[in-house]
Amino acid sequence: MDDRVKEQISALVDGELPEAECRLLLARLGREPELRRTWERYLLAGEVLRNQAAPFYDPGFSRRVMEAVEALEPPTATPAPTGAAPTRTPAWVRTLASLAIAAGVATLAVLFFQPGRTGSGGRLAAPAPVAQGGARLDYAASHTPAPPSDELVERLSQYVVNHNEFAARTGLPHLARQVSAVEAEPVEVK
Amino acid sequence: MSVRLSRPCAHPARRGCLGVLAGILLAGFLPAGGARASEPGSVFPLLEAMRQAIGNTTYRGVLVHVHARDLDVIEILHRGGTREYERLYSLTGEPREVIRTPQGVTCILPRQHAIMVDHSLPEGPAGRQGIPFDAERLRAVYRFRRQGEDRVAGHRTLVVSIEPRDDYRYGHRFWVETRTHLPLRSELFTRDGRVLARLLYASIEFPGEIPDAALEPHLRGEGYRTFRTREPRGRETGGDNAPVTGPGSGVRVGWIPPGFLMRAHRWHGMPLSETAVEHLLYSDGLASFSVYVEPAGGEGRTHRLDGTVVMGAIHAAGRQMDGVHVTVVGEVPEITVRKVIANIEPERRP
Repeated sequence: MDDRVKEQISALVDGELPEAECRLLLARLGREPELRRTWERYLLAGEVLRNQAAPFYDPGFSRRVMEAVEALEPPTATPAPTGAAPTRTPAWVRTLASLAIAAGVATLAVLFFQPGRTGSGGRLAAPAPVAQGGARLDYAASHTPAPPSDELVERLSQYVVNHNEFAARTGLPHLARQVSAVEAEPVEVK
Repeated sequence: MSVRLSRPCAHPARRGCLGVLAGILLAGFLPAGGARASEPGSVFPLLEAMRQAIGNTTYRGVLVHVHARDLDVIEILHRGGTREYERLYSLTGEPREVIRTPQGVTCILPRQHAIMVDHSLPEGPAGRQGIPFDAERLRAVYRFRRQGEDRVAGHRTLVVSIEPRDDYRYGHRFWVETRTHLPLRSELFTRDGRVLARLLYASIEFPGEIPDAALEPHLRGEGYRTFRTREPRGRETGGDNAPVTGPGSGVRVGWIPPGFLMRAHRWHGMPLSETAVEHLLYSDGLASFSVYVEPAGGEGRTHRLDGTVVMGAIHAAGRQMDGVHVTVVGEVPEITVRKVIANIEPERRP
């Protein structure tokens, strides 16, 4: 197996493989056991990594996984035009679905989701009812849990950067302070 | 044991991910690795050495940050000493870059098409190295324990655990490299031991020098909007007699958690605010939070926080009151920002 294929598998696990390459690779995964074993090792590594990462997935994770599973179903709502060939699930989707089922739902998530990442056009994570697996405190009813505006996120980002710059000189410089500015933390309304 | 997944890849992000995976699996995420049981002896000399090493050591490495929902991989180059300079570049997700110099921090954020420039704290009485540890004060609110030795990124480390004695602050665990005293791994955890974030170096090296060219930003930021803060004015404070609220403040902070002191009080020009924002910084020596006070009303009023939000391990709470809007931000538990903001009142002047 050449390095390019390994690179593709890694990108697939990371959800970073372009769609066209994804289809070809998934087709190969369905045919080639060695390739599939490599893919499973990468998935396993990713899962171990994520499982070790403590409160890793947010409460909406399972739901999103199931939505993704449902999204794999062939479209049925729109009837095929008369005379057209019946709608078929593309081969690569079926391959993906079978591989995902074989490897467990969590691996499907590894393929589809980058937890905590937002969509390409968005910036915010959807509000979650409980953050980081902890007990939720009571919130005032007047505080509407609406997604924060871009302007609010920018303002908060400035506060965080500003706070961290000043805070680093008042105590033990925590590594997170070094990196917080470079990270795009999703903001959750509580 | 050190094993690396080796495969050539064109993009640095992909190299980072693979190295990271190997590093994490084989060194970092084995819980506490080979750390042994608690050992007697003061940890403060080690922590003090670590605090100074962060600023003084020259290093370059790949840093992994695992937090509530995500994993980020960051390339970091740090030139220590009097010409301290640091460049951080995200290898995962959206490209983001941060340049730190003695003059301030510049964040290049392509997704926002923005460059944020913030001025650093002016030299205070403790210089750039910051305020030394006050062991007695810290022991009142944290338990300090040594947890033996471990290896991180192939380097021998000493493990120190700092556990909070109440719910108003988080705990820390540091893996301190024995030669340079740089923390190669750290954890942030709640009082009940729930880990909120892990940081570790998947790889790190200590070159004698980092050339200027390597510290140049990767991202050009052409055409981006630049948000720049004005120079702050105000003062650093400290010591047992530090007030809870500074003179001339627009608010009275009626409650802060045990062990916290006001460490700075100044006014900034924040990029999104037409007027100066008052900034009060509180710290217990490890944890800290800031209170920002700005005039209520104006165009930006709809973009101010009303309620509580969480960003990783950072909590923020906002509230509007007579004529001012207050935001509390810090890497502290939610209960802390909520109690602080609930006990802030506008200052009544005679």
